[in-house]
Amino acid sequence: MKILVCCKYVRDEAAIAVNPDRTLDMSAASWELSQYDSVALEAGMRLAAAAGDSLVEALSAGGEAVENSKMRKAVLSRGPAKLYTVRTEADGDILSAAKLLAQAYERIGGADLVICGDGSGDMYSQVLGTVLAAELGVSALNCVSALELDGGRVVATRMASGRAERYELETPAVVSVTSDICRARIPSMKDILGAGKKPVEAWSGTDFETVAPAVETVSTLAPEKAERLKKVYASDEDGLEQFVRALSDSIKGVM
Amino acid sequence: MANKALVFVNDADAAAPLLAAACANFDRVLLATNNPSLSGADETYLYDAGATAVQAVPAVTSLIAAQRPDAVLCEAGADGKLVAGYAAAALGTSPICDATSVSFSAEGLEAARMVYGGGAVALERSAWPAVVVAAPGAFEAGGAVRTGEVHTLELSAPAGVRLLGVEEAAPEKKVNLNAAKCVVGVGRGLGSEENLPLVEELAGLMGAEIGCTRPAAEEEHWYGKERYIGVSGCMIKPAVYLALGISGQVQHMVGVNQAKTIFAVDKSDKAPIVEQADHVLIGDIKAVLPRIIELLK
Repeated sequence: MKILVCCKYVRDEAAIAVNPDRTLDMSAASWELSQYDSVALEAGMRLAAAAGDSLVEALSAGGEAVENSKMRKAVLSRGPAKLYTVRTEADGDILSAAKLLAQAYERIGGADLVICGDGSGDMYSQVLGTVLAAELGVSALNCVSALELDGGRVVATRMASGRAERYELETPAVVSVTSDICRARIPSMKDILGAGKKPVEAWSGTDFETVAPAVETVSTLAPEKAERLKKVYASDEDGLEQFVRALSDSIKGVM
Repeated sequence: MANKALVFVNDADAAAPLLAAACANFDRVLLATNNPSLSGADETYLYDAGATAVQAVPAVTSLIAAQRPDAVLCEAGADGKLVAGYAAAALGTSPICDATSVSFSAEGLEAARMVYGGGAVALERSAWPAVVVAAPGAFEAGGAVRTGEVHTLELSAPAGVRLLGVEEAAPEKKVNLNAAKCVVGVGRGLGSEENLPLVEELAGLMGAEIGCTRPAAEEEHWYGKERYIGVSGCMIKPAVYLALGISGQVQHMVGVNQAKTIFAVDKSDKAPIVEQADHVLIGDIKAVLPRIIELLK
C-alpha cells in the first residue's frame, strides 16, 4: 500500500507576540511541524506496518519553511521514506492549497491512501482533506479516529455527532485523522540523523497551475481583552471568606 | 439581500439560528437535512433520517451543484465540515470554518474565526458563492422564517465507501454549557480524579454545569469531550465562571473570556489566569475546596 501524508509547517504559537495595535508579531516564532500532522504521520506508519510491503511518503506545500532542513527532518524523522515539497510564494486559501496538492499527488503518481491531520495547528479549518478528495474525485472521510486493515481492506472509524461510524474504504481515498487515533512519535537521535539521508524532491509552486484565492483575509488580530478585577486572595480564613462572599454575591445576582 | 442560500443542518438546536440568519439575508432559502422536525425554509430537501452525512454527501453536493446557491451555511461539527468541503469544491470557493460571526452584504460575506489556537481572530471575506461552517452562537435564533415545500432527497450509495455500522457513543448526559448561567471549569491542576466528587458537590451548590479543559478531557479523561471548553470545544458566556486548577492557557481562556465574572482557584500567583480573572484564590485545591463548600453552604 502506498500512503501519502500531507504535512504543514506552522509558527510556534507560544512565541507569537502581540503588537500594541493587536496585530501579530511572528518574528520570534520559529517554524514547527503542525502537531496534528505528527499524528497523521504516525497513523500512516502504523497502517503501513500492519499492511506490510508498504511505502509511506510525505507531501508539504508552503512558504520558506518547506526549504528548511530542520523542518524536512521533522517530517522524515517520523518515518516516511521520502518528502515532496512545493514552495509557494503567497499563502493561498483552502481551495488553492487543495488544487496544488491534487496536482502534486498526480505528479507523484498517486497513492492508495492520503492521510491528513485533523486540522492545521494554525488555521484549524479541518476541511482541507475533504476539499482535496473532492478535487481528486475520490472518497473522503473526516474525523477518523481509527484506521485498520481487514483482509486487505481499509476500515475507518469516523466520529460524528457522538456516534462512531465504521466504513470500508475503497482506495484511493483521503482521510483526515483526529488526534485520538494514536500518539505522535518522538523521533530518536538516530531517526533525526537518518532523516538527513532520505530523499527530498522539491518543486516550485510555479510548476503548477494556480488559482486566485476566493477567500481573502482582511485582518488577523489578537482578541480584545476584557478588563478584569484581578483581585487576589490568600487561602487563610480571611481570604477564603472574602473569596466565597464575592462568589456567592455573583451567583445570587444570576438567580 | 442576496439571492439564494442552502442550509445544511441536522441538529435542531443549530437549525433555528442558521435558518433565521438565512431568511434574514437571502431571498430564497433551501434546507438539506435528515431531521424531519426541521422547518423554516422555502424548500426543504429531506433525506433518510438513518443515513450518515458520508452517505448523504453525494446527493447534497449534486443538489448544491444544480441549485448554485450564493451561500451554503453548514452546522458545526464533522458532518457540517464534510458537506462544506464538498460544497466548496463544487462551487469553486474555499470554506470558512467555525465562523463566530458573519455579516452579509450584496457582494458577499465577511466572517470572523479564531486562528492560532485562539491567539487571534481572523476576519475573512468571500464574494459569492461562499461556504460557511457556523460555530455555535454565530447567529441568533428568532426572526421570521419561511414555510414551503418538502422534497425527498433520494440518496445514492456513495462510490468507494461502504457503511459497516454505527455505534452510539456511551450514553452521556447531554450538556448544554452554552445555556448555563454558572459554569465550574476543571483543569489538570485539580491534581487527581479523587477531587472530582468535591467539584460536583460545589457545582451542585452553585447551580452550575461542569466544564473542563482539553487536557482534563482528552488526557486525564476526567470528563467527556462534550464538556471541553476552548478552541474546537465550547465557547461559553456564563454570568459566573469558576476555574479550578486551570493555569490560563489561551486555548482554554478564549472559550470563557466572555464570562461576566471569572473566579479562579490556583496554587500559583504567577499563573496566567491571575491576569485574566476577577477574583483569584491562591491555594492548594484539595485543601480549599472543602472550605469553599462549607462557606457556601
